[in-house]
Amino acid sequence: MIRVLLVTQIGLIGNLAAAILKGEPDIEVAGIVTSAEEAMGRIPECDVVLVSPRLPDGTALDLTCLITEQYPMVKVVIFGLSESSEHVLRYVEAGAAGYVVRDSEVEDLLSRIRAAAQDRALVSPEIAASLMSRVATYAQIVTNAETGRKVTAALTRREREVLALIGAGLSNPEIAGRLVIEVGTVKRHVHNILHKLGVRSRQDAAAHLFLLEDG
Amino acid sequence: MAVEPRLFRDMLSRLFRRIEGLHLRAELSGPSGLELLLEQAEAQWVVISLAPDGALPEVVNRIVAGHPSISILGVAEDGSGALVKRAGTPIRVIAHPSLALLLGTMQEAGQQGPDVTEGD
Repeated sequence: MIRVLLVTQIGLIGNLAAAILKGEPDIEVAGIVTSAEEAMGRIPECDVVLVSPRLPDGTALDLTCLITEQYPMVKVVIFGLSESSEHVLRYVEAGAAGYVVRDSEVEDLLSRIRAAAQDRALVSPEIAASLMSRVATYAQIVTNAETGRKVTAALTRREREVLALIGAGLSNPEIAGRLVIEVGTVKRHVHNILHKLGVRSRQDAAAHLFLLEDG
Repeated sequence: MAVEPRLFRDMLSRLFRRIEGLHLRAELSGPSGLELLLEQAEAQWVVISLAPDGALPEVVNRIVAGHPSISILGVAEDGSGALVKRAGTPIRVIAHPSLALLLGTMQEAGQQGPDVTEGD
């Protein structure tokens, strides 16, 4: 039996969804609540939480994050979303296991609840394409960060100091004054930094600073 | 029934089909074609989506004028409000409708409710 908790501020929608779910032999309605706060107290009693995105002050997104973090076994399905893939992806990134758009049929709602309860996800081809594109983007970011870390690690301690001052917006003479070294020495350090990072400008070099801060 | 969005309409229609004494004659995604349909299909109620500003769509006035026996239940697309209109009576506002209240209203078709009702 799949125990479903409904979270919606709209009484009629909660009543309707509950009436539909009660007609299903493998689904039990664990309750209907109208706020994220109320929902959190009921999560241990359910397997799937059906959340309306129309909770006040964007709390549906926060609720999705909270449930996913604190109760990873409980699945969140967002229902009544608009067709926009950006909306869907926001909830997927927050941890939602499924979604049902406003233009769906009741059968879609039921099949997505069942899929979520079985650790599966049903997505439209459009959303699948957006998800694949998003995964590729994230993979590229991770690869770039890893490559950047290796390159940044090749900088000497003095070059790192110079890079930090470049990032702070200092000119070569200012850096020379700050580090009490010759301007010519600063220029040599800057040249080496640009070469090691494989960039052409001080601004591009400064973009690597976050890697120094991370490491 | 001419209700948007589809998920809302589908939930309503599925429920209506389960209720004894309620016969769903036709489903439309919007008011277009509704008047023509009412010429062919006998109906006591029309369930229709409210306009984005919360008002009954224009077609309702023509339906009530042409078919005084038909009652109109207008529901907000997000389910947050409803209006009931019958020929010769003021519009009844249901601020926070519950399913029980709407079904009760439809089943007590001949009974006039208060002008403003708060649902649960």
